[in-house]
Amino acid sequence: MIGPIETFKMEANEHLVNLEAALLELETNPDNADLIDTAFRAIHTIKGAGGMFGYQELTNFTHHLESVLDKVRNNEIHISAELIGIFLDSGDLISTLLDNTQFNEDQKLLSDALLERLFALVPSNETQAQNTTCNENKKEINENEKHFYRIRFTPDKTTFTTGFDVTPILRELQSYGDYLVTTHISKVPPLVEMNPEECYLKWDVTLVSQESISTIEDIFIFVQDDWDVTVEQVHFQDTEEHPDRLGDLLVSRGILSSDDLEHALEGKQKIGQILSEKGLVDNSEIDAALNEQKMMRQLKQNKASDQPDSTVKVPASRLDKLMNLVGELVIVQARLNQVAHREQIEDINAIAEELDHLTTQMRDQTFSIRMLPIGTTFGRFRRLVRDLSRDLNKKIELQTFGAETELDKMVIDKLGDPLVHLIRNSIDHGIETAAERKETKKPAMGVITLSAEHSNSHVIIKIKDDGKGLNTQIIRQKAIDKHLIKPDDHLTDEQIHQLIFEPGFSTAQKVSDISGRGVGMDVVRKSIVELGGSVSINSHEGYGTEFTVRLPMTLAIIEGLMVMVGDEHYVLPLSSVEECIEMPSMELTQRSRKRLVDVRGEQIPFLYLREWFSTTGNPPAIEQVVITHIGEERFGFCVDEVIGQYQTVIKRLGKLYEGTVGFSGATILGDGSVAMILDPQALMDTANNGRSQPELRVVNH
Amino acid sequence: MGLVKYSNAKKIIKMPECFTIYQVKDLQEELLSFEPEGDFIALDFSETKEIDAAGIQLLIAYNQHLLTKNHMLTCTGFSEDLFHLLNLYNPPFPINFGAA
Repeated sequence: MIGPIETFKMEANEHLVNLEAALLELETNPDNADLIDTAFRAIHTIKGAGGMFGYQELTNFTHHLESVLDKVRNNEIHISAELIGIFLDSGDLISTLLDNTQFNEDQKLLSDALLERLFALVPSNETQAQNTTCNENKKEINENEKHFYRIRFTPDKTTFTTGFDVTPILRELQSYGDYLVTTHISKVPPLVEMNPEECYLKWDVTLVSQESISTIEDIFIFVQDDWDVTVEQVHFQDTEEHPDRLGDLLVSRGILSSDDLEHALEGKQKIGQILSEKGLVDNSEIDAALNEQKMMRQLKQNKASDQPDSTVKVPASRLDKLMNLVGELVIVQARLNQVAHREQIEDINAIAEELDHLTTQMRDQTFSIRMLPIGTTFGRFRRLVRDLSRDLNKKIELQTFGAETELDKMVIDKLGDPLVHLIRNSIDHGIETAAERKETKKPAMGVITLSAEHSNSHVIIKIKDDGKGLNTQIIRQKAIDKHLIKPDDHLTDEQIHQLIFEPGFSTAQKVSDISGRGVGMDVVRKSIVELGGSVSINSHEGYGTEFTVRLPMTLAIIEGLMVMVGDEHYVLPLSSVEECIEMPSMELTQRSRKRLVDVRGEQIPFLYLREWFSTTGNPPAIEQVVITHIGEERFGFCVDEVIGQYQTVIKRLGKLYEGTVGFSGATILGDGSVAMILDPQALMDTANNGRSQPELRVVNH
Repeated sequence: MGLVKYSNAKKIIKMPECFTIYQVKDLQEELLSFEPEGDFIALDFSETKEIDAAGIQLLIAYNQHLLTKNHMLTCTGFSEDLFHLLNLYNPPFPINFGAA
């Protein structure tokens, strides 16, 4: 259970992220009113909510920020780099202020210093800024919340003669929101008998308003002693449960008993008509209830369209547990499928099939809950680029693409640090100073591009800079000095570049606090590999460097293609499978791990898994080659048999298997046995490196 | 006949400038004294500048009275302000603004 203060802290942090993103955008787009509004809302909400939860000093501090942003909104002052700097620093301070309702000494000094900078830039003309009350904040926060009121009043008979009129009251009620009124006339006597100076009417108003109940009650303040007045708030959060059928409403309004309603409903006419005919309810009461029904349905509809998806915050650990449970469910499902297939009982088969369908839906839904757009992490990179480029006196612009690309939350959480390090490297080692860039006829402003895109079941993240690129000679020499390679080793430029991922490697001339300690890139690669991904580098001296990070979208469950080699089951990620081709068993004349298969004229290399895994026994008469696509390439895997599609719950391999190449995990099958999940990319890379001349085995398809 | 003016040709009764607690007694008498012909009675409020809850109650009672005699009441000729005022009460008879 997340308490309200925890919720406040979480939301405040989200607002700080929005604030920072807006401020950084404002640096290049200072007149963008939407961005100014975003920044204002963030500060305004933190201020208001802070007040509600006792963060009075935070409220006072943010009040000054809010006032300045309000002036920006009203075009009284303009955004400047200095102002943005103050706000960014203030955001940093606020993030440290959420842990305690009172400032500590350091925080106090920092906040004073920031306000001093702020007032130097924008003199404060407020004297009571320190005294913002919690109530004000509460009102501001709830300003958009609508309340549903049921108001009934019956004036006393002498109302008209004592000088009261009902019109001003109805007019005021109407001014407070959406209003529907019923004038009850059942007590009005026949015209010949009535005393027209006496009041026989009563009113029933349904009101949807942002005003509080006390404001509504205050309308009747001068007549409350003489009139019969009821102001009732129908709690709108309960509207899903709140009855809105006419009969239920009449019961709820105390006009009708449940028994009478049940009795009346024995017929099949409209309930209003039935009740009226039976004399149970007056027509005007039915009208009033119908008004309420109309208003309530309209409000529900508006609420549904205004807020298409209400959100619930849950701890991430619960999502992890849910995902684990779904994983276990998938495994049990596989067992059930196996039993159903073996026993061939029609009923069980039908149930297994239905359950399979539901399990798949549940898996996909659970999976989608954990998916987050990668753009949620982009904000911190913007700040990083801004701050570091200033520290290093460089001009750098960060361009981001594909912020909407979704990734499993767990992957995103663990991805932040490696990406920070890659970007730091681009800033520190990649992009040159403005003077250096001028010498090489490059624009003074360096560009770092951060992009993300889906590629099958993977996400490809690229960090590209237009800096000086890697110096192959220096890297080579450094590698020799550190005994990573021998002087007579013949390596391609690409292989030399990969050396920067080796532990302890650094080419920086001096150690800075930004990067260059030589402890980073190997940690980056390790972190990415731990996520089931890979990182590669592509650099051209003088033109820039591009890091490509390839990550699985999820670490939990994938759709796989189950295959058999010998007695063992293996799983290939289905998303990379293109087709399966039959191939007569071949006589191996030469031991080789890599061959070519001709698929409609295209020569596709394939790996003979029987040989790769040293499987004993004879192969089947006809083997299968599963053709996969890995990036731009197509690559085949020759297996004994293709079993079929399989929901694969990924279990990480233990530390013992850390160095094992070609597996991205394991999965538990329905009978409890284990199948290894193959990593096509790693297998292809290893096969390519293991043999340079493929043997051509031509099989026409 | 003091407060209201009759136009039997059109079956329209013209209502006075004020239709409030101060006039309702007299108005009640006048409305009762009027014997409508046909099914349709229209009250013309084009000269009316003021109406209050007591006036509206009287109209409601008159509408009920006509219904028992199988006549239908229409109120017409309201100024825009009075039309909005009448609508605040959501009266159980048709109201129109503009010319009668």
